[in-house]
Amino acid sequence: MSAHLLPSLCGLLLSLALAPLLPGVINRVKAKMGGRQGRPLLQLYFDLAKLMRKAPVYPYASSAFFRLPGPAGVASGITALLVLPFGALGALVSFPGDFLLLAGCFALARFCLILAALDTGSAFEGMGATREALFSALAEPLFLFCLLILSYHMQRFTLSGMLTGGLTPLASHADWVFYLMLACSLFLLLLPENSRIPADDPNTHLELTMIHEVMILDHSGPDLALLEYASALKLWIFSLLIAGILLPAGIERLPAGSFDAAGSWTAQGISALFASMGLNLLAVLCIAVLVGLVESLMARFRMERVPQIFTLAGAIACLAALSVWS
Amino acid sequence: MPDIALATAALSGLNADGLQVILGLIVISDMCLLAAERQRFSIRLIALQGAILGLLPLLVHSGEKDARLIAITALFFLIKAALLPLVLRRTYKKLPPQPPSRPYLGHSLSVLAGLGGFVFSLWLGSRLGDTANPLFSLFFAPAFATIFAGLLLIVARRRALSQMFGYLVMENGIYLLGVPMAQHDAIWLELSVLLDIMVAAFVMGIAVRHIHLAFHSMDVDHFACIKD
Repeated sequence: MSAHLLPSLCGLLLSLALAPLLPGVINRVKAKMGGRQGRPLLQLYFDLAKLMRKAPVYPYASSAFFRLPGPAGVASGITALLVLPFGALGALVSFPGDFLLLAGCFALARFCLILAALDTGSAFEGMGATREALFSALAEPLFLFCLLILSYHMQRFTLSGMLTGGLTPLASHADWVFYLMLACSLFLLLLPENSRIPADDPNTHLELTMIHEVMILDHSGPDLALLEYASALKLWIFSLLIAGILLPAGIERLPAGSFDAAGSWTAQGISALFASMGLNLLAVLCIAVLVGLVESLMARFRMERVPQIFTLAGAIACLAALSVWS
Repeated sequence: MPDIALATAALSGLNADGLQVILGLIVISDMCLLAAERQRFSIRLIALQGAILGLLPLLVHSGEKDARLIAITALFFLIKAALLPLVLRRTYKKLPPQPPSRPYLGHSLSVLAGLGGFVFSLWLGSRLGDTANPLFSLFFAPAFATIFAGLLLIVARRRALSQMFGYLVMENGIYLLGVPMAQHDAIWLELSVLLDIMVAAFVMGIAVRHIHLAFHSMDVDHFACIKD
């Protein structure tokens, strides 16, 4: 157990440290596609450091609820990362049904953000909150459905089992179709859930079209820094989940001889562990590049068309389910 | 998918996995086409579907890949992934930009209907029983679902160009249904059908242009004013 603890802890720390890199990668891809140099890859790190040094300003009408979403978002993100494996080893915490905790963490963070938006009394933020609530009502069942079919397919009830466990007798040659469709569905879900184009634009400054950004308009200083960090963590978690689904065969088991008789890591085991973590990291970065490409090549949808993304994601998730059940 | 073990047993491991991924991608692209509102995006999807389908003869052929097979595959790829999308793109470019129109059947409903079509195809495939060619069972559901998606595009869309997309998607489904049986010399039959389709796409591209010149719109509702 102790041999597994340290690499899992390293995975968690790596996730916490690298999460703000993903928005930088997306922005860099968008800039390159547009023929520009773009902002530095580490821009969000600089922004977070700058914001943390500032003093917060709170609206007069707001209450304690206004200060809640930042800490709640980061805490939810860290809790979600505790149950989400990074690489070949399981997560730090694992128990049957922990995938529900993952969905619950997102829901809690969203609930706090909606409360804070409503707490300001601003009509624009209220509008953003209602939009967020509407789209989350479509996204959450779909996210749970994706996790449930993955659980059914792998015959495991923990995220660690689902993403790093061996294949079960149920798994057949239809596996690749299943993983591909599930990853597609989750990728489509990633876009609106993380306020990316075509559902939302993280760089927008037009209140009438904003969803996520409009809810954090009144936040400043460390509160805004926590919110930005929480949204980067959420993007990282979604990407890591998709990477775990797409790389089930490559990292499912460490090779024999990874541990010696005393249960300690051997050199072969350590190299295999680094390889699997590197592969996951590469997959996460590739997903960020893909998000950047989608944002560069697609226009933003009209608000009334955003639910169509969920319809398409749901249809592809159903296809994934059919590919293993038929 | 039905008889998948039999079908995959007939192929090498790499080919079987490749086929699975390709069939999955085709069904996903069907759903994306049904959900797509912008015609330029639909043309890209049709090109992608054509590129995927163009590679199929190579994967289906389990024996040694000779020069003839590679040449035919290259021809399929060229027509499906390059020529047909080029015709569509030229037609699209010639038309003045128009705002997206509301289809007869909404995009979300179209996707759900497409999903229903796939479920129906699976059911129909399971009712067919054992086939002489096990690959046919593997291809049947995605192929039939693609034909259904094409039909849906034809009847649910308001614009003539979008209906043309439906025609090509339907042809992709028919092609997919024929690929497992198009071994050896039978592949020429597929090629002749494809050439017919290409000519039809050219004719339709010209017709669409003339329709726009006559009606100043691509909305097929305007055809209702034509009298005998």
